[in-house]
Amino acid sequence: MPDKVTITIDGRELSVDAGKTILQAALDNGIQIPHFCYHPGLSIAGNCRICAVEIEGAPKLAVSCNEIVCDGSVIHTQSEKVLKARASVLEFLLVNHPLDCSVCDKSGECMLQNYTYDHGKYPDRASIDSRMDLPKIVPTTKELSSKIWIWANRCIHCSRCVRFCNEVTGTGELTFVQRGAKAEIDVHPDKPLENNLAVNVVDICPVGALLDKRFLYECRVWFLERRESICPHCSAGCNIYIESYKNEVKRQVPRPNSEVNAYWICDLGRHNFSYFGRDDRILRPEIRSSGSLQATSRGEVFNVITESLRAAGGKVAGIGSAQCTCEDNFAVRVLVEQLGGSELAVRETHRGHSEKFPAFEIDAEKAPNSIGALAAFGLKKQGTDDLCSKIESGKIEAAIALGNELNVPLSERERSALGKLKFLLVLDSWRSDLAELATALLPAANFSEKEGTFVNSAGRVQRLHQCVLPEAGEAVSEWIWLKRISDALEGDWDLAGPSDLFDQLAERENAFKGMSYKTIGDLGQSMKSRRGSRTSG
Amino acid sequence: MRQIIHETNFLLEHVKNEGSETLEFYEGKGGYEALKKALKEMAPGEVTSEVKDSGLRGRGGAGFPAGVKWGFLPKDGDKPVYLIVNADESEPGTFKDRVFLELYPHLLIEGTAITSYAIGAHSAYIYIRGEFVRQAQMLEKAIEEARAKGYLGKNILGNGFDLEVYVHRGAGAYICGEETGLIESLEGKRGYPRLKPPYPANVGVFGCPTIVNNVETICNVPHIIEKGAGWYKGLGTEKSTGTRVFGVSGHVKRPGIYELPMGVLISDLLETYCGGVRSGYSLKAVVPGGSSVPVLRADEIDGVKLDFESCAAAGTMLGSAGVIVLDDSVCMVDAGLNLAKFYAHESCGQCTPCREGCWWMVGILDRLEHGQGKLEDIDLLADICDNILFKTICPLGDAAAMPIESYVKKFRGEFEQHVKEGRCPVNKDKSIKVPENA
Repeated sequence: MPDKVTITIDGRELSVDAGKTILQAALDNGIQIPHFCYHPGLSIAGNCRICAVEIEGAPKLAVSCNEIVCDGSVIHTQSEKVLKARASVLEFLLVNHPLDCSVCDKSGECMLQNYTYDHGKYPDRASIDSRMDLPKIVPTTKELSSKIWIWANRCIHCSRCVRFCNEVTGTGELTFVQRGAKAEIDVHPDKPLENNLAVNVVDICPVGALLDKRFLYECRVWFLERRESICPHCSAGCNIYIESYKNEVKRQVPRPNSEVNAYWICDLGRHNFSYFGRDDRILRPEIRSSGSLQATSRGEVFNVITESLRAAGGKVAGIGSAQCTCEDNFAVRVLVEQLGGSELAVRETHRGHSEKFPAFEIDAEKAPNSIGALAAFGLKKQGTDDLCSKIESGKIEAAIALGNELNVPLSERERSALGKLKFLLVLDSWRSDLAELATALLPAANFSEKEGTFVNSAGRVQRLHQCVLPEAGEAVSEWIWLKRISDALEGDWDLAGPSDLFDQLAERENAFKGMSYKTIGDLGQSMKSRRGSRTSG
Repeated sequence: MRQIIHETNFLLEHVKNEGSETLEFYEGKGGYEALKKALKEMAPGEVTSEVKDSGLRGRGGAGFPAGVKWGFLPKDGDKPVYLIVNADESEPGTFKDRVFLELYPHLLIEGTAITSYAIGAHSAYIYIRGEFVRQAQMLEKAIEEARAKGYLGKNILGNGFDLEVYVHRGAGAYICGEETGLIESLEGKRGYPRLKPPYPANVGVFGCPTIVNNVETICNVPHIIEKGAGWYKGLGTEKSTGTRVFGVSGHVKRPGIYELPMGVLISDLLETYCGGVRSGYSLKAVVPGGSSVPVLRADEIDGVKLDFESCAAAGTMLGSAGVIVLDDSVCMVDAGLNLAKFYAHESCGQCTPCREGCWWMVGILDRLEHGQGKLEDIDLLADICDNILFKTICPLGDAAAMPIESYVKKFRGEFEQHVKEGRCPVNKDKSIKVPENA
């Protein structure tokens, strides 16, 4: 336990960890001190000056972001002197700010806007007409990379983005050029801001200076609905918010989790929602008739499925997917076991490139739930070799396969083995080579449309939430389809939701021992056997 | 340069002679004896104590006691210690360090060597302003001479002490005269002053303990070592010991360099030494310590002495002792505009109040000077100053706000006149030349 010191902020006596700054101590205790340049994931710059507070006995105001707490300090955040200094910083910033909030993408989540609303109610001394007279000090817009634009005249020079590129990515693309009021953020010649974490600077920009081209003019932020989820791009399991408008995903932004992704996500994950707009979404149940897949009714497809699975007489296998939740995979296992089968396999995931930054890492394994899928099946390793052999030798005649694996095509052997099956039920969201082999095909929800859990590469079990409803059609989570099939097969599977599924899984598999859907919470929980965190921060 | 040196004391005693910049000349005047004394007879701690006892205060502007500053270095640290000599003399109205660099570089080198010995530095950097091209070359040459004679380099004077001195040229930014901006610049970065703490004595250049001293401060050190703290304390006032090299500019008959004991009366300096203001004009104001200190009106200078305490008592600062004299041909709004433009141009742009405030002040002063201001602008100006003062990382914000605040306060009538008359009311004479007899 760190040593504690006692300080008084605005008359409240607080016991705080020694070594903390006044700003951290205040924020930890719910005392709001405005701050622009301070960001918990970056070094202290102390340049915006808005977090100044009054410490009794000190001759000058102190910037609270750089002032370490001293035992016995009496601090005021609302004194006349502090309020005047705070309002003056806002006034200074606004003197040279275009005030184009009406067309600014950041409007609604702009710190300058919010703080001015809270602390900046003073007469406008830089009157509008004189402001219009001001020469344009810096050019208005500039392209920093294929992903990011800068509105340089909105910049408040907090240097967060510069520090991010120096400290988190270590790539150092951004810098200030020029001096004083003419200073502006720019990239070095021939070195655009293209690193794979670059768009984080848009999130940390306190104003609308740095903007994500993908989100530009897409939606006013106050219309966005935000829900907690997990990025499915790689096995790092970065915590994200999925933000949608009218059931359409508009933006994915990082959700802070000190054990996983700190405050950041990579651009590959951030922008991967593009495939939501693909036009090959599977919307209806389909069934193979005279060689091709034809849409059909749910009743029809269920007749075929139940008949075929019964006919296989226990020679049924389950094929899991690291793109699907633990619950979906576990549901496959439950159904296979109900049918008297025991053969389970998880297809191999795509191993791409990992990318290491000073304070972030993009995982090589491009699947969000590799560990979870295996654990749900009670398996140790990925691969379908055994399964293919059994199909080839006729020991397996039917299979239930999860899809959503967009990165990995079927291997030659898988393609030929699966083609030999008498019956292949595939649950998938988009057309894939696996779906093309199906005898029966059911439309599945994708990760943004369902509840469940993913386990990241460090063994952290994390929940994702339904952020949008599945596109028009009949798509639902895979486990729901599997439960319906189980019911149609007159199983006695007691199941109301993903929480029951997870709890049943936790009872069966040691890896999840002691966990429940509730205890995982918003920030996740580590598997007992695999404690560890991805980031040190 | 030599012809503008009017008054000398021990520091500048010999600089009026031709050839004073050579090693031979310097040795002929007893140069490098203090270094020999320090290395052979004194322990580093004794050198520091002597300087501390002498009461020598920083000549860069803030007046912090030099020996005390040296004492802030961590004891028994495992990191190397660096000495940086601040020769980035760029405060408007200040041209004293230039004299040492041009005419007496060996005094600076000897002082650098003694100071390095005292603080345990084996590398010293002389950070010289970018515009001083010739001076940098002369300094390099002097360093070579000193090195060849064994006053620098390995095993100095056979005493086992090593020291390398490097000249580092700035690129022309005023802000790099601020010690942490200087350190950043020396490290090859943008000259952004650092957030303090930590102070350079703990974390300075390359993350190591560092002492930054002004050229004139360092030049005092050999004399203190040679003649003793007691002798030094006999000069000047009780708390501002020694002499000060005043650079007088503006509307006096004999502008130039005056080395006088601390505590000389402003009126004495102006009348007795500088010959008073030009005939036909009367004194309007005096800026005693470089452009960034508050101005004194002509009626305020009576009895004000040029030492740290008297200046502070008079509501201004001794600063860099660059005395700027203004007669009644000067418009204070115009003077303020000139200054504000300088600071707006030189603000590094880190801190909000300084970056935006300096720029805003330029706009307001500009419209006031051109008769387009409003009466509210005057209070606005004063309030902007208040909003900048003591609210920035480094003192550049203060340097910009202090003079403007004082101009508004002390010459308010003149500001109001600009608004009421809708024009500048002062018949300006900008044809200042150095008088021929100088």
